[in-house]
Amino acid sequence: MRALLVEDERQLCDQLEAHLKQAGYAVRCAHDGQSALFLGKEYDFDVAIIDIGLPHISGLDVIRSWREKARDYPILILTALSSWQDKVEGLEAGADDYLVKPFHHEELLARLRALVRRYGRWTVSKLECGELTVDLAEQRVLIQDKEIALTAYEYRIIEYLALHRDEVISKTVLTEHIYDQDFDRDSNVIEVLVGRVRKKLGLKNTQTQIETLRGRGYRLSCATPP
Amino acid sequence: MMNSLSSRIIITAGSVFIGFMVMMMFLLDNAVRKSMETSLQERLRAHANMIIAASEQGADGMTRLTQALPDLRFFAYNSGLYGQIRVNGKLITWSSPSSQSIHIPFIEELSMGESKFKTLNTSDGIPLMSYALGIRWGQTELDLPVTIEVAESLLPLQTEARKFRQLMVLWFTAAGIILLLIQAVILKWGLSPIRDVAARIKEIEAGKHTKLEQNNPRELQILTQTINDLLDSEHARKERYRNALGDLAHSLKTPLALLRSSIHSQERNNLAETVEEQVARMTTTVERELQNAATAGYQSLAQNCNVFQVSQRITAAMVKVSGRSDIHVANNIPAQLVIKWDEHDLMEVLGNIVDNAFKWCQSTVSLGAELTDDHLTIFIEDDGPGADGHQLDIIKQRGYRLDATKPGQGLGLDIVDRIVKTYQSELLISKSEHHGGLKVTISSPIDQHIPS
Repeated sequence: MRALLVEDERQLCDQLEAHLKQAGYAVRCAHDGQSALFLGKEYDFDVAIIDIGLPHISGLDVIRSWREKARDYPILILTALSSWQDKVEGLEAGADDYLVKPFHHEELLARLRALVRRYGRWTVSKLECGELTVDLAEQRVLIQDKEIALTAYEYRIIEYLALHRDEVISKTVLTEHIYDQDFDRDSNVIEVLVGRVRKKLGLKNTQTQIETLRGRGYRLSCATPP
Repeated sequence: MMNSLSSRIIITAGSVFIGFMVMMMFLLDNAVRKSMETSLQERLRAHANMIIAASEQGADGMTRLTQALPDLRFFAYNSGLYGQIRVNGKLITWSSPSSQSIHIPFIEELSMGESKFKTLNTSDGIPLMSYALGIRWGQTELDLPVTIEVAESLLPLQTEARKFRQLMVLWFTAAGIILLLIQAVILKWGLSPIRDVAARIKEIEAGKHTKLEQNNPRELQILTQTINDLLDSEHARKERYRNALGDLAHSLKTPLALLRSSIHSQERNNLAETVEEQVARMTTTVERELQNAATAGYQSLAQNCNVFQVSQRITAAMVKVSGRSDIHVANNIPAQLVIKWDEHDLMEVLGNIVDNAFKWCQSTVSLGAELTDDHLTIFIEDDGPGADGHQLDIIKQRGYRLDATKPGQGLGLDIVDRIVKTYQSELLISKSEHHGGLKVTISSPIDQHIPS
């Protein structure tokens, strides 16, 4: 998952970045309204976390601007402003959820997971695809109820494909959503990772498959409807 | 200058008054002049009749003056009164001695019974008003047409009119100045209560007084009462801020002290737990005191707040945040219902209640309002598990949570209760008869909160 984190308080931003990375997110940080505006318009994210009181341009204006540019990824406002007036204004500006500081990191992660699920039109925390189950809350992957041990990157690949099941995901998109911005995109690491995931999941003779579509990307196809 | 109330009144009333005076002078001058001219015309007619009475037609058909005229000015040279008898168009059979060597361009011949007034000038440039009357004697066979012509100088009339105008301007100016002075005095007296109020406000600013006096004229009493209400509200707000700040500072000291002692304590195993506990405690305190300070409370000058619009914004936000498409929201609050509450406060109250309803409901949240003779009630119901008798009694208490597994701090209804009380209103919690869950009702007295 690729997350944009906009927070002007550096220490808090660093802490959040570390927590989000630990939870499997590829994080891009911005510390003011202008750079948030630029990043949000230029890049595609799976979720954005934004403070309201930002230098140069307020968080609400940034959100409105993103929405005007048809950036439709879910946005969570993370702010110290706790009144209902602030909450309603933030949601009316285009945000999808609102979390007041101070907060528990677990709550933030749960909210983000819920937002990503809703954005992918999933309403449950467990994604099932034939004999494959991806538990988003516990970050576990099961085949016929048996847990498969995966590395963080392997998990991110299967999670992203499961969230976009039956869709063709290009190698570039997959790379962007599981790695940070400084990742070397010419490498064949994705191919190696997908190969390892296939091997670990053992999906050779089942209807659930991670298909390779030459020149187009990958697709997780399932035997059962979503 | 136009920012001053008295300047505005003086300038507008003075302009209207001066305009009125000028118009009156113009009309009066015209009327007097017209009256003088009418009088002169009557005199000329009388002179013409006098000449007819003093004339006779001879056997040759000529009309001549046979008797002396009573007005001796006809005989005094250049007296200003002239007359002549014209026979058959051109033949002058009599001309008054007063007009000797003066050329007067009288009106030419008129037919019988015809008469005409005309303004003309003599050869010396003296303005005259002339009157001509056409007659026929009908006594002899040679009955020639006769035109009796008289003229009188307009100089005396013009002099009199000019004198009248000068006198009129003098009197009108004097009267105008006196009236304007009287108006200024009335204005000063009439506006003095406003100046007194302004002076009193300055004294309040200087800290000499806390309120405006109420013994003002009736028209100002509503204003002074409202300003006093505003001052009270401002005073209460300051007091609330001060208390909230004091309480906040006081409440934070204990958890801070606990945190500090935990850092320096030998037993640091429980440090994370202590920090978590004290941070939660401080968060609750900050949230509560911030809400206390931010609550506007009842103000007589509060703007009308549309309950339906606020509730729609809240429910739309909650639908978005909850992400549950299975919740049916029925907002039955009348679209035009307004209440004299601060919008921030109403949003805080409805936000907390609707948030709870969304957390607990199975699939239905409904909002409604009822207006009775003396109260407005706004109610929010859900089809959740609700609360039983004992829970209903303590549900409003700070920190109490029906189910600790649901997110929250147990502050919502406590905050709502305190805001509602500042509006002399009541928060009631009961079982929903319609949906079986919880029903939260805000009951507000109409006289204070419903605009008339």
